[in-house]
Order: sequence, then C-alpha cells, then structure tokens
Amino acid sequence: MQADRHEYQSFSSTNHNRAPAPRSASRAAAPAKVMTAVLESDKLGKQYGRSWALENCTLTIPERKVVGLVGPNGAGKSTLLNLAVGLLAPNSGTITVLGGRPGDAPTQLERVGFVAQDAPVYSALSVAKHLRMGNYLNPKWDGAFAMRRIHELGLDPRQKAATLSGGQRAQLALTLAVAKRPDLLLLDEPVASLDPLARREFLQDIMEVVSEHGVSVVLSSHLIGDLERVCDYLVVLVASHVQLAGEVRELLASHHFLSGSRSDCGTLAPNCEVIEERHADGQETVLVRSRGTVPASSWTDQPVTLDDLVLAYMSRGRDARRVRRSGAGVSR
Amino acid sequence: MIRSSWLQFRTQAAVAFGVLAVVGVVLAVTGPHLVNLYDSTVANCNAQHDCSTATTVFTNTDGPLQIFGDFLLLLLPILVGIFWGAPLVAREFETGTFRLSWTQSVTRTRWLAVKLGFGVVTSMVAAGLLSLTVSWWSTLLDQVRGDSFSPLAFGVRDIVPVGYAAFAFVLGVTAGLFARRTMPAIAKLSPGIMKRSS
Repeated sequence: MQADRHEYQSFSSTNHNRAPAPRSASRAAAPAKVMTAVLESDKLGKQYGRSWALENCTLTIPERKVVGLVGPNGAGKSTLLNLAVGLLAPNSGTITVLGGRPGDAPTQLERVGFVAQDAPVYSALSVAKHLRMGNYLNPKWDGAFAMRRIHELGLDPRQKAATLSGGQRAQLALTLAVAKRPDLLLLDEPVASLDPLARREFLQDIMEVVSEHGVSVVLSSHLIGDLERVCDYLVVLVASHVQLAGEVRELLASHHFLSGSRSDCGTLAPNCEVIEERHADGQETVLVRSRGTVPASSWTDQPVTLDDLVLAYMSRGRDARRVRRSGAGVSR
Repeated sequence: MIRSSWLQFRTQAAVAFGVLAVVGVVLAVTGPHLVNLYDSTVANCNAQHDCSTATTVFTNTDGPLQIFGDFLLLLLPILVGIFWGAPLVAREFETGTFRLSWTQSVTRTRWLAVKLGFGVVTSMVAAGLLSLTVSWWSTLLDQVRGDSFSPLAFGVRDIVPVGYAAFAFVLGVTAGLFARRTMPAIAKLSPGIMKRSS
C-alpha cells in the first residue's frame, strides 16, 4: 500500500533556508493549485514573548499525503499544528488550511480533525458521553464508526475517561477526531505516550483510516522512527525553521552518502549541495542533495535512510541556530 | 452545543437543584406554623394592647431557620461563582481540553456564548427559586419587621439574589479567564463577592 501511495504525486515543493520558493506569486497566478494543497503557509511566524516559536515558515503540503512533521522538542511542531487548527493566531505571515483561514467558521472547523498533544479528554465524562458530545458538536459525525471503533479497541463505553490509560486516551481522542469525518487530520505527537506495540497498532489504525476515507494526515513526532512506516511526505522543523520539506521518495532519491578520500573533495559536482560532512582517517563522508544526477567520480555512492536524512538536517538546523544566536548577541 | 453543555453540566445542576428541593421542603413544612403563630400573636395584638411583646415573640420564632435561609441566599452567588463560573474556562485551560472543545465544529465564540448563557440562566433560576421560597416563607416576618431596605434584608429577598447570582457567575468566568487556573481564579474572585455582600 505504501508503494501505491508513492506513485501518483509529483514532487510538489521543498523549502529550506537557502532556497525560499516564491510561493505567494505562484499561488496568485494559479488559484486552482490552492485546492490541491491542504496546508499552505507563507512566511508564517508565531512569537511567545520575545522568542519566536515558529519563524518565516513557508510550506505547501499537498493533499492525500501522510505527512511526518519531525523535529526536536521545542522546534515549533505543536505551534505549527495549533496555528493550522486555529487555536493560535500567527504574529506574522499567513496560513491557509484547506483553502480557508484556520478556525474561522464552523465549516472550516468541521473539515479539520485535531488530536492535541497528550490527547486531552474530559476526565469526568465517560467514553460514551464523549461520543455523544462528538455527535452533538459535529454535523458530519459518524456515530456507527465511533461505536465500532470503541468496541474494537475493547473500551468500556461506561468507563470514565479519567481511568483510561495513556494509550486508551490517545485512541479515544483519535476516534473523536476521525468520526468527525474531516478532510485533514492533524495529530500532535500522537504516539508519544504509547508503548511500542500500541504505537504500531495506532499507526496501523491511522493508515486504515487514510485508505478508507482518503483523508490527509499531518502527524508530528520528535522521532522519525515513529513515523517512518507511515509517512510519505516529510517536513523537518528545527529551531523554529523549516529545514526540509518534500516527498519521502523524492528526498531519498535526491540525497546521497558519498565517501572518498579527502583529496577528492574538489570533484563534487556544482549541483550537489553538501548537507553534512564527516571526516575520519583521511576518509570523507558527505551527505549531499543533488539537483540532478550525481556525477560518476571517484566517490562511492551509498543510499541514505530517512533516519540519516532527518539527523543530518536536524544538526544543520541546530548549527544554523547557533550562528543566529551568536549573531544576535553581537548586534546587542 | 446546548445539548453538549447540558451533558457536561447536568450532574452539577442535579446536585444544586437537589439541595434547593430539600431547602424548599423544609421551608414548606415550617411555613404554615409561622402563619398560625402570626394569627395568634401579631394579628390580634391590638385587641390585647401589647403589640411589642407579640412582635418580639413572633420575630424570634424559628430563629435558626431565618438565619439559615438568609445565609443560603448570601452563599448561593458565592458558590455559583466558585463552582460554576470560575471553572468554566479555567478548567479547560488547566486540563488542556480547550484543544478538544474548541476544535469541534463549533466556533469558540458560539461555544462561549452558549456556555455563558447556559450558566447565567441556570444560576439565575437557582437563585430565583431559592429567593422565591425564602421570601414566601419570610413574608409575614418581613412585614412585621418592616425593614426590607436594610442592607442585609434587601440582598436576600425577591429578585436581588437573582442579579447577584448572574453577576457572580460572570465574575467567576472572567476571573477564570484571566487566571487560567481554577484555584487562583477562586482566590481572586472571593474579595469581589465578599465586597458585594458586605
């Protein structure tokens, strides 16, 4: 199924600090394109006090994707998701979700399902009452689905939410969000509180929902390993900045681990951007992103894993933040 | 949204109206006794030329109950502010459930409007019922005392407690909104209500 999902979407947009894409211009020129993006942000920023939780975030997420939003703790993942659902208002820039402004109108709200970090539920209400509340508050509520799922999970409908385990709570929150029948599902660290087995089952459930109802999903985690099996689109967020965004398949194809002796350094093709360098015993290993084909040279070409890729961009993002911080220190 | 509010609120409402019912029964049972006593003392005191004794005897009857009724009417707005008003928004922030409730297919404005309306109406109904019962029970006592505009009596009769309850509820919500946590909200709220009571 994974392979099928990779087939039909072209590489839509990538963005990182060095190459900001002229998003706003292309959006104005081709309004039809708005329909194919579930989330579009332009120079989006959110500030808490004097620090920016998210800065200059320009991103286009195509529809019918399972998007992994990955970054270290405090990178701005939750902020981005809360902006997308309208719980936060941006301090700068714009964000468009499913063609509308987040949280603006009931019609906008009913199209976006959201499971917040730690899956908050009303501890005094029973599982059944949560479902009834979902029914009362959402016009497209799929009660049959919700009940079926609760039974499949083995949850007692009369059980108070306070007595649910972390995993059960996450499952209840996911059920509420999915039974709403949204077009876009936003999940903030959905598997953080789950043990490995529950984690796998939870992700399987999400994949089932995706294949049955064709929703787009954005799920965040600080571990790419959690999401690797399910996501076909990746966004790496580090220190309030988007470091990398793109289709997983494209990203894996365009990145290479090259190793060779140090003397070969000069032979790297100009269309290769070096993401990370490692030296050991005169041996050079570089992770490059190629805009074309990697030239046949004395370098040995090795495939990269998603893990390598995310780690490389994370450390690059961290270094960039250090530079920004020291720069800011001087200017003060 | 209204059904959803009711779903979350009904246990508290049931407790409140249960207590009110008990108070109502107690006052209904003891009320006729006061009327009889009035008839036998104050009503014909002119014939006996000793109205002051009759009045004293009558107004001292059921002293604990009189105090209890007035005390409840003073307490009710405070309880409404603390248990219904303050947690309304603060509890949502405290437990993070605002991320659940404000991302359903109902806008935040509507959510707040319905919750506020629901709480204000329920608080007013509760205060109204209690005030009605106590005012009925005390009709003859108040008539004999004739001090309905003294600070204490004014605040615990007829529609005045209804206004206090509505005010206390909204004050509680506002305190909760700014404090974002239930207990600090209650702490901030208490002086406001006390000031109004004194």
